[in-house]
Amino acid sequence: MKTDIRKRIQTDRLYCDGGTGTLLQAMGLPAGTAPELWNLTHPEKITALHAAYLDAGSNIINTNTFGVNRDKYENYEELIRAAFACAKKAAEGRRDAYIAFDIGPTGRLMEPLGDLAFEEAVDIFAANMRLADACGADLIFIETMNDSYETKAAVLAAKENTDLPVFVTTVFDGSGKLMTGADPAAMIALLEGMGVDAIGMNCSLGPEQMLGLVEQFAKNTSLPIIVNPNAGLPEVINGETVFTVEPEEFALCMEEIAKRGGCILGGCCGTTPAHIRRMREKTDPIPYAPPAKKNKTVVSSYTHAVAISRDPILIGERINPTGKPRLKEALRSADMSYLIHEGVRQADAGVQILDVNVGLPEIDEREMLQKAVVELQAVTDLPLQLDSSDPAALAAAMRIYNGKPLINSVNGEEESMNAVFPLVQKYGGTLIALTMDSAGIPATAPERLEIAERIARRAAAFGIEKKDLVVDPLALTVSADQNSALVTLESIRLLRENGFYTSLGVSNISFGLPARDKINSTFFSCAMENGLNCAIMNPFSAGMMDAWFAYRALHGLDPACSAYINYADQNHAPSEKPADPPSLTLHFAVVKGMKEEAAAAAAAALKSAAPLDVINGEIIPALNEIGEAFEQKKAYLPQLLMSAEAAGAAFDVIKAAMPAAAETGRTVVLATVQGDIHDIGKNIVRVLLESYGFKVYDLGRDVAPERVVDCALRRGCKLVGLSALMTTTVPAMAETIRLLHSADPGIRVLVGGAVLTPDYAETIHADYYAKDAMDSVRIAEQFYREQPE
Amino acid sequence: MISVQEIPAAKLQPEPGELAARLQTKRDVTVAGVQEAQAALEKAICCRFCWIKAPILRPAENTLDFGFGAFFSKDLTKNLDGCAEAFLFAVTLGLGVDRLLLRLAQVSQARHFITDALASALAEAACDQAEARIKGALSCKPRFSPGYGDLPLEMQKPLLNRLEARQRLGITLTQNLLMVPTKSITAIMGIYHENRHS
Repeated sequence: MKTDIRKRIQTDRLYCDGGTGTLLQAMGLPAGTAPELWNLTHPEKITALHAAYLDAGSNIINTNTFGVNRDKYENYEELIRAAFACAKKAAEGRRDAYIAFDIGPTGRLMEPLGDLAFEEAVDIFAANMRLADACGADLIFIETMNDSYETKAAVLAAKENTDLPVFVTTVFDGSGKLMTGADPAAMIALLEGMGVDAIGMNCSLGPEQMLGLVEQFAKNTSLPIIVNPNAGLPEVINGETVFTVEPEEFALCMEEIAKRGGCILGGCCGTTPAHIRRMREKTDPIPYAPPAKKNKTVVSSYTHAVAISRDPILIGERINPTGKPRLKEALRSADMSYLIHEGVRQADAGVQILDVNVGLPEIDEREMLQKAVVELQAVTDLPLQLDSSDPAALAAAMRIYNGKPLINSVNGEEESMNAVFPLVQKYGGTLIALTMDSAGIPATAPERLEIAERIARRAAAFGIEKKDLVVDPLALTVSADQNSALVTLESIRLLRENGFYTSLGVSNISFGLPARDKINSTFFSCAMENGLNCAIMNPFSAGMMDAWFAYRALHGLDPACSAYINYADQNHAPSEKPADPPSLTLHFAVVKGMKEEAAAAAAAALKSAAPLDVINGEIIPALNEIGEAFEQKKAYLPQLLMSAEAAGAAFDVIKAAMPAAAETGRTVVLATVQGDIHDIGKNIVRVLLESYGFKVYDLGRDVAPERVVDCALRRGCKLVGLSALMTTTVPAMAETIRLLHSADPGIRVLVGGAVLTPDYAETIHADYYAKDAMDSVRIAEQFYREQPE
Repeated sequence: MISVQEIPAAKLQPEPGELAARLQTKRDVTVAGVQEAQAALEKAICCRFCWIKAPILRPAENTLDFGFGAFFSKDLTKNLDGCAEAFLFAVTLGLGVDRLLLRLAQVSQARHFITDALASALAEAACDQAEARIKGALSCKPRFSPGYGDLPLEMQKPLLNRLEARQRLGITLTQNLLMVPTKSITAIMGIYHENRHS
């Protein structure tokens, strides 16, 4: 019986095999033929290749299954079984040979950039994992991954379908990043969080170029580091791409890599048994030690990790419906754009983590939190703090999060711990622990520490380390109890002295008081002075940002005070603009597409005119002017769009001043039909309609007919706009129109898009055809003019 | 074998007519926002291309084979008339551009539209530069891409495989045979026989 490889890597340096493709080509595999096909047709050659590596000193051989999955091969099971047969035959009678089931990327790109859905990727990998388990693999080796999200899907599939050890190597390019952006610290955070057994890098670079990466790994990971380089960088010689690093040079570099912390060594493209043999000879004499335990508290996104340290982290609090009617309304109508904008604005304002809380009694929080995560991670590279009291919502969001999230939160109640700890154990995450339990929030700092200690002990039983907890000792409003701020500050100090990192929802302190910002920012300074590590706060508060920049400058956390100076320059430079009302008229700003000026002019106009008069007297005539210029080909689409956005900015200012009942009630449902993913045209129509004051329900792209009907009926909306760019999706458009008309004969459907013509529109029974975005507005206006009030 | 090269983002300039067409304007119209879009794109672009030289086999009338299966295409056959070899190549602006566009689609339709149009024009410019570097002093036919004329889009898959474009450039295909990164171009470019050239 072989020692479990998880134990072996604690005591011994192990060796992987080297390249496959080039060697098989030397054995006669035609260029362009997939190596895995030889598992069935030339099994003896595959066995010989494995044996050559074992003879050279490899202890781990990878099955010849890199490109095999059910997406690519109908007979994937047969190919995998044959691969195992080859590997087992080569390993027969050898005491020290581990058979690793080799898994490479699917070859498809994950959503949102590509079309591979996360769960579909998990399913594809899962089928392989189950088979590998049944075939008797010693470990799973996920390699050559160039996307953190796909890597997560593969690891999850392994964890859910086998108990085998999991090794993972990813491909870093010359800039030290994965193709989709992750740096080593981000990959380490993600993979350590998910509980893999060894991590590292392969392919793309030669051993020399990997040295720096190995050092970054050694600094950040507690896991054994795998290093499988190519035989140098590819060079083109006489029109042929070749890898030129010979075994001797390769081995010398690998010797250095072993000294700097490489634990499991092998090769990738261009390396041969000779490379492995020479490398073993060179590195065997170097004493072996697995990496030391690191006690870093980190969260990560798909690009980078954020380490929690003595330098306070800002967590943006704005994505939380509490006290925000507009966000509430947006969530109820499943309109994600408001939430996305809040995310982007907070990122621009300088927060390092975004809190995401979408809890409202009347919505499905599980679905909404998952959706929010998907949307936010498409537009921002900040790590997210998943904030919910519902463990099912947390589970759904943690599963599809592309990184190691911050989780808000667990508390000292058994029920809470039993629900949340298993999630962290499975998906990884750093957990905010609230110092409260069934008895409520203790009145003193030592009691709050006690709860933190208890949570840490229980977490340890689930394999969650203290470093993965951040304690929130809770800020309670000082208006109710004037001692509460002092207790919180003392708790922060006490927790710090006992080795805990801390976090606070800072703004709670001022609840019920006037001019809350003044209290908040001063309390924030006090909390930082006492050692606060993370603050959930409002980055649009000048006071809070002032406090943070000043604190960092005053505590040696801002080299040359450069961040402070930069901040002060941007925010507190004397204004050069005269205090007079803006000289530009609203009309002019809209026609010229000047967004900020339009908003300022609208605010000025509201001082002397009623909201509806500003709309009808200024904005609409301006839009009509640019719209007519567009129709006469005197203005062009980009200008029209900029004007529409300027009008939109003015509308936002006016809406805020307008009672809700005064809204126009003119609604339009918009969708790009099923099968079609081209939505630029539809988006342009949306912006224009909104600029004319229509309320638009935008269902997005690739929308099933039933969803369009459902939305129109639910919203009582009688005008539906559909777009299609490709001929192949026009049948889906026809079907949507048919369903709409049969659901409610009063519904009118407006169609547009590159493939449509007026005749074509008539054939599929559309009610209106719009030749461009402006035409859509004209039709919608006409439609509502003819409607009885 | 396959060669890979980079084109620095700063070296890419849109051809004015191409850009105007993408923006749906006219050549002499200055569009506010293009400069800002170009600056953002310059940071996002990681432009690379790879190519091989392949012999052209003609297994049947109007059917071509570059070593990865036969394709029926009257249009490409006509385009490659008189050529015994062709360059096959792929160019991409990289995934950073897609990330940028995804973000802009949520932030501003105007900026999204302008940036998307400019990126398409820059991809064409990148393709022109790649083409010039690949052919060097050789005389070549105008480049031809899958999806032009009657050349089937299905060819995209084996062509990208042959170029190892996923591993080398990160180009993947969706199930609808669209390339991601979206600002990517593949092309076939016939090489004139040298004796004909002279």
